[in-house]
Amino acid sequence: MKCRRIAQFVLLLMGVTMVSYGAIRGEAATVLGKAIKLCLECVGIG
Amino acid sequence: MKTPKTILTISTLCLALLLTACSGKKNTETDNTQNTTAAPDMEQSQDASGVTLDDLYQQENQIFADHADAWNKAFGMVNKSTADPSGNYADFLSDTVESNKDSFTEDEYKTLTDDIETIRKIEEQIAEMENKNMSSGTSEQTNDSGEESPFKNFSGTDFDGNSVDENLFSGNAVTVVNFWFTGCKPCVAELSKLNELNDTIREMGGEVIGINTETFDGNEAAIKDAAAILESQGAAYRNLSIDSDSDAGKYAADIMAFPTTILVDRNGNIVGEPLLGGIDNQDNYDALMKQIQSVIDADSTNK
Amino acid sequence: MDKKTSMLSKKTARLRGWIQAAATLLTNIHIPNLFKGKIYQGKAKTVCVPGLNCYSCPAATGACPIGAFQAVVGSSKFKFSYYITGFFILLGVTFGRFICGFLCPFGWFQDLLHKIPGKKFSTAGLKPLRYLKYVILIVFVILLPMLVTNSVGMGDPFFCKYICPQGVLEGAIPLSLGNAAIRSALGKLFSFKCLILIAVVVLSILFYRPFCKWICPLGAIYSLFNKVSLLSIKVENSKCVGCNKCAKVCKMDVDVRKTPDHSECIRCGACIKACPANAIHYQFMGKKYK
Repeated sequence: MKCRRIAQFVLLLMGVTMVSYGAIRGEAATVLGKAIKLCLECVGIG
Repeated sequence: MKTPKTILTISTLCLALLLTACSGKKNTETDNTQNTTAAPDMEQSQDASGVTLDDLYQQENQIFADHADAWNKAFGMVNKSTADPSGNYADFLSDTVESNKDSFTEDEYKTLTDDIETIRKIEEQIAEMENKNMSSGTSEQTNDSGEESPFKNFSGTDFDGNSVDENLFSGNAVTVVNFWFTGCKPCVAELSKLNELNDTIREMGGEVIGINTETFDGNEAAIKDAAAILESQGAAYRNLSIDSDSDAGKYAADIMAFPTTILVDRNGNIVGEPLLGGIDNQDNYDALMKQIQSVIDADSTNK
Repeated sequence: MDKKTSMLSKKTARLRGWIQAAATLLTNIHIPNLFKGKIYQGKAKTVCVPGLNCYSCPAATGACPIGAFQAVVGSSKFKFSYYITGFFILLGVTFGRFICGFLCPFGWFQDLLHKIPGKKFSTAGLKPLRYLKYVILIVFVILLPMLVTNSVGMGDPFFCKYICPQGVLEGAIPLSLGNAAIRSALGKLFSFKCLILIAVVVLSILFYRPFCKWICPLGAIYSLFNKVSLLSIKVENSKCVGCNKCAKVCKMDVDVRKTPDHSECIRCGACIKACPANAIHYQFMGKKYK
C-alpha cells in the first residue's frame, strides 16, 4: 500500500515537472501550431 | 435470423462508404476538369458572343452585298450629319431611304425596306448582345469588388527585408501563391518541386510566391525557421511575411488545410479554386500546370 | 447510512452512458464548425483532451494527446515531448483507464455500436492480441516519428496518418462534407483509412471494444497506470459471497476479485452493478465511494 502511495506521489510530481518543462521549452506552442492548422496528410486526407 | 440481416446491413454500409471514397476520387477528376474548363469557358462565352456579334455584322454586310446596286445608291444619298449613332441603325437607313424615296424604283424601294426590317432585327440582336457583354463585364467587376480580392491592397516583406506590394501581381501573368507552415511535413516536401515550378513558369511570365502562415507580422524567430527550411530544400523563390491585419493576412489565417496553392492573375484576383495537397504529387502538379496555362493564355488574349 | 452511500458507485456506473455523452460533447464543443467545414483555431488547443479525439474534428475543443505527441516528436525542433508525456503521467496516475471507460469519445462510439443487436463473440480466447496496442504505441507513435525523418528532421505522425480511425470519423468525414476544397483533396490514403474505420465498426458490433483492447495506443499508455492510479476499484472480501457474477459480466475479460487494478480494466462498473452483495466499489485517493 505504501509503495503505491509513494509511486503516486512521485509520478504526480514528475508529471507536473514534465508538463512545465515541456511548456517552457516551446512544445506547447508546437502543439497549438499543429492543432489549428490541418496538415492534410497528417490526418489521413489525400 | 438476426445475423444474416446484420451482415447484410454491414456489407451495404461498407459498399456505400467504399463507393463514396471511389466517387470522391472521380469527383476530384470531374472537379478538376470542370475547373480547367471553367476558365476557358469564360473566355469562350466572351469569344462566343464576339463570334456571334461578328456573325451578325457579317449578316448585315451580306444583305448590303446581295442588293449592292440598290444599297450603293442609297449610301450615296446618305446625309452624314443626320446620323444618330445611338439610335437604331435601321432607323437611320429607313430615314435615308424615305427621304429619297423618289430616287428609287418600286422594286428597289421594296428591297431596301425589306432589308431594313431584317437589319432592324439584327440591330436589336446586336444591341442585346452588347448589353449582355456590358453587364457580364460589369457584373464580373462587381463580383470582384463585392468579394474584394484579398490581394487588392497587398503589402508584405520578403525574407531579405525588401517590401512588396500589389505591383508584385501586375508584374506577372500569373502568380502562384503557396501557403504553408513550418510544422507541415507535406508542405516542406513540396518546396523543391515548387522551386522547379518557379523556374519553369518564370519563362512564361509567372512566379511562385510562398507565404508561411507562422511568419506574420515579421515574426523573426518564425522567419528564421522558415528560411532555414527553405534553404535546406533548395527553394530559392520569394517567400513573404505579411501583416495579419491585412486582407491577405485574414485570408491566409482562414486557410486551415495545408498545403494550399492558389493562382492570382495580373490584376490581383484569385483565379479558380485553391489546390489542396502537395504538388510533389504528379496529379496535383499536372492539374496546377493546366490552370497556370489557362491563366497565362487568358492574360495574353486580354493584352 | 450504509445503504445510501453504498449506492454511489452503482449510481456512477449506471450513469456511465450519460457521462460518456457529456464528455464527448465537452471534448467537441464547437458544434457550429461542423456545418462550416472549418476547425476551431483558438488557444484552448494548446491543452490536450483526455480521450482519443482528433484535433482535425471541426468541433474539437483541444488537441489529441496521441496526435500532439507525434507532432512534437515529429517536429524538427524536438526529439521527445516532455509536455505530452507529463500530461500522460498526470492523467494516468489520476484516472488510469477510467478515462477509457468514461471520458473517451471513441470508447463511447464502440459502446454504442456494440448495442446493435446480433451475435456477440467473446474475446477471452484472443488475449494475446492485447499486446498489439503496445507494439503500435512503441512503433507508430514513438519510434517511427522519431526516427523516420526527412532532411530537416521532420517526421510523419505515423499513427494519425496511417491507422487512427477516429481521425476519419471525426475529422476527414465531417470536413469533407462541409468543405469542398477538402473534398477534392481526398485520395488513396483516405480510402485506406476508411477501410480501417469500417473494419473497426464491424468488429465493435461483434466484439466489445476491440479497438480499446487491441489497437489504441492511448489505452496502452493509461493501462500502465492502472496499478498506481488514484482512482481504483476495491473488492470487499468480507462482503463477497463468491457468486462469480462479476467475472462473468466483465467484458474486458478481467476477474475483478483477483486483479481489481488489472491493466485491461476500463472501470466501466459492470461488475459493480452486477454484484448482489454490493461488495465492489470505486475508490479515489483512498476514500471509498461505496
